Amino acid sequence: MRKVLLASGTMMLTATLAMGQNCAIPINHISNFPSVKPSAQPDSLRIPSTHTFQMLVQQGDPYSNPLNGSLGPLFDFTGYVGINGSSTQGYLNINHEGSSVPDAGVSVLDLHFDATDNIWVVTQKTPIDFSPVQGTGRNCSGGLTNWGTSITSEETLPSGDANGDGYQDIGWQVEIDPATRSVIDHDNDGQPDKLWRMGRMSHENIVLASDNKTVYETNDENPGYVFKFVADSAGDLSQGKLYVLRLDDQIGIATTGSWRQVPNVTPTECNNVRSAATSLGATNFNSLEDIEISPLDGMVYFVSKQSSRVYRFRDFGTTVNDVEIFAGNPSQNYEIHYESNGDTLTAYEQWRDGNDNLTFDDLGNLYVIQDGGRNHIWMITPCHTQQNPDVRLFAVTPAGCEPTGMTFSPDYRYMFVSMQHPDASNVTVMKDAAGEYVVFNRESAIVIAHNGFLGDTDSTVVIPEPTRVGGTTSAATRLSIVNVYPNPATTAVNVAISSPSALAAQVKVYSTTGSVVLAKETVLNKGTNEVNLDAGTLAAGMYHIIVTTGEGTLNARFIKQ
Amino acid sequence: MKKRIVCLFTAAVALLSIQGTAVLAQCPNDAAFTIQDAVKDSLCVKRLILKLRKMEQLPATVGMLRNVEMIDLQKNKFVALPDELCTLTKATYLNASYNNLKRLPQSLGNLGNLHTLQLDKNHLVELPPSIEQLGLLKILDVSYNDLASLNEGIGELKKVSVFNASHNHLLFLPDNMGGMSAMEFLDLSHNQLTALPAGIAGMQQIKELNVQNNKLSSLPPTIGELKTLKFLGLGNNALVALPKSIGTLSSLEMLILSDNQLKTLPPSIKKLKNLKTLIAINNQFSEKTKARIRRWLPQTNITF
Repeated sequence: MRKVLLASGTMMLTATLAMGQNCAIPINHISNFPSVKPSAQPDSLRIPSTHTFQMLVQQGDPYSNPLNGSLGPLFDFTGYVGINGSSTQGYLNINHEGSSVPDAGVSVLDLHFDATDNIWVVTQKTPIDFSPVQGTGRNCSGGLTNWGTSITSEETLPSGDANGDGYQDIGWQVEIDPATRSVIDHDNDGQPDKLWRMGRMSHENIVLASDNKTVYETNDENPGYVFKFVADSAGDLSQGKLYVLRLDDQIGIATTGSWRQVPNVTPTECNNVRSAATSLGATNFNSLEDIEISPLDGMVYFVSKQSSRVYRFRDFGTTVNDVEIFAGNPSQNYEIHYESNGDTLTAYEQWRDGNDNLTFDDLGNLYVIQDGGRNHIWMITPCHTQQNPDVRLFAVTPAGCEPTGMTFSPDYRYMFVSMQHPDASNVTVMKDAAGEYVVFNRESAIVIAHNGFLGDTDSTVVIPEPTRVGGTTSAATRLSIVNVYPNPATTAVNVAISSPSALAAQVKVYSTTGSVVLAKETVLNKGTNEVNLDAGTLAAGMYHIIVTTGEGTLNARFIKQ
Repeated sequence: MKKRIVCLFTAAVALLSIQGTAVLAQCPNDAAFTIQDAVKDSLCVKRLILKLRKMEQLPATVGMLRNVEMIDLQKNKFVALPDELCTLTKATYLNASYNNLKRLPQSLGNLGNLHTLQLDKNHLVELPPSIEQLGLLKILDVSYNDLASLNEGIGELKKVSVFNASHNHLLFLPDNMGGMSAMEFLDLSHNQLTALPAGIAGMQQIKELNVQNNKLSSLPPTIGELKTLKFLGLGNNALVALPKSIGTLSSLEMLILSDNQLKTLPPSIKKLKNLKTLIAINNQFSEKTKARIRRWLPQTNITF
């Protein structure tokens, strides 16, 4: 046992790590689960039988104000911010990585947990207007502060200086107040500001230490460096000193290193922190992804997508020690004990490439999300060492998708995560915890929890196993709404319905206040049907379509412009 | 030039064909996320967003999108782009980053309204000569490609203010590159350059010039004419001396000289009154020289 001075200035005691760690997990903790069976991606989500999920929002869902259109593509950071620390009421900040200046870079959902129905309810969906800061670009991952704001991390785009303030416009950390859906005005001059002093680079994410001053950040480029920013004042990340990590030897050999201060006062210095870091001899980890701090041992963990390894170090302020590879290399096989029909079976699953996002829970379990390999969500317990691995498989994700942006509610009961760019051809219908039938065929943000904490115990059911036709799944074998288009609609809206047989159907359109505004009787034929509705007389706003048949009820939404 | 005329004619016909109709007024959405959806309402689409669609080929039907203004093709598997793309003359933004492009359509220059062209992280070995016709272009990114040279047409891009050609294999630059007179941010780092053209002095609005990680052994004296330059990155080259004219970079705030073979700096450097930061580690300065440089630049934060 020894005393460690963290960069935050706080003293902590660390026991011998890993081998001495108590890895017992309370039975209802989010991290208590049997691994899922490893495989290539199916066209649905596979999570442990102990857990369930609820769909919160998908690409194309309309914003609450019809004038704002609908949620865009490429959900990334999925950051839950509890109102006054609440685990049942807050905001969900969803980055849109595909965004560029013309598009919304972040969507904010207002949501709360309805204890009666045991589900989350989204009450508002709003895009953030970044025009006061010359837009944002490639909003990648991000981070949360301890004072109710979130940070969206921009990658760099070639950008000039449109407003002549000396700072290039894109490539910064940007702090957002989700309550006001606005960027923070740090210098109180009436104009919001990006976090210039943290430097311009292809930011991947950001993590804030408990001292509310120290942050770590990485850049997803080659060269890729580990930076540390120490704010002058707790709770104000606009001013402070910037450092870059230089190891004392080559990666894989060095166990120690030091921080080199990077000039970051003038706009010119802030624009060029990577060039300065290079000239200061910073260690190039090549294409760095997330960086996080373990709540258990205070060590800083980060990943390089290029090497597909998780590294960690202990920060002593001006130097770092205990630099080591914590997990992975692409060829590493981990023993996965998974549940199958009540039995526990064992498989060896290769780590593969592409480890990307990291998230710790409160017990120090590290969730590792892959953008590459088989796009899994792994969990590594704090008992893990490279010699004695303890790696579990939390999720096998829908075909084509890259899971992204995991955060937890403050009580660690709920996990918020997105499925980025799943295949549009995915057709398996799943019943979520809210009883909704969902398909992972477009960008999706979901919440996951233990069965007892979300929805009914029989949720997460895959609706009848789809028929495979020539190796692909046929949507025509089950009753489902295949598409609603155009959406937003102006004069007409078409509902494409897949039916397993000839069925009488009643199609009703409800306003958000529950009034029936359109109704139509029709007969569905086996296969795909198209029902045309006249939306020309409807007022602008969001509407629900309910299709009722003898075989079940379907619902969908559209927006009238 | 012939192709350009044809292209403009096509666009004019397209415009006439939709005038007097309610086609545009009936457009439900101006964004399309698949090429199939895009061609359904081809004249409605102003934003074609095909990022991360795992596409290997962009169909020629893309040429139907005659009103498209923004084209985002990032992170697919394109090896080439169809000529029909270059008929989309209303396009102002084209992003084809993170593909496998080895060549571009020769008619690229027909996209005369482009203001942003992002082609980074591909395998381009050359840029088509017609690029010189992109007279409205402001932002050009060809970083992380396999370019060994830039053709002289690049010097005709009079409105480009941001140009990133870093991480290529550039051996030299065209003499007329200084013709890019609106340049503000120029990144040529991580190439094989052994010299900068004297004509670079034509960039009279340049703010930041990054030529780190090249093989420069000297700088042209004309570099001192860049009166607006605030950042000059010269790290990791083969410089043995700086020209006396370095002292006339009156706006210079940050100078990086690390990893060169410098034994001293010209006395004129003391004229750099706005220089806030000098990083010059891993050179051949004696302690006496370091002390002298510190005396010359008392207001500068220097790292040797």
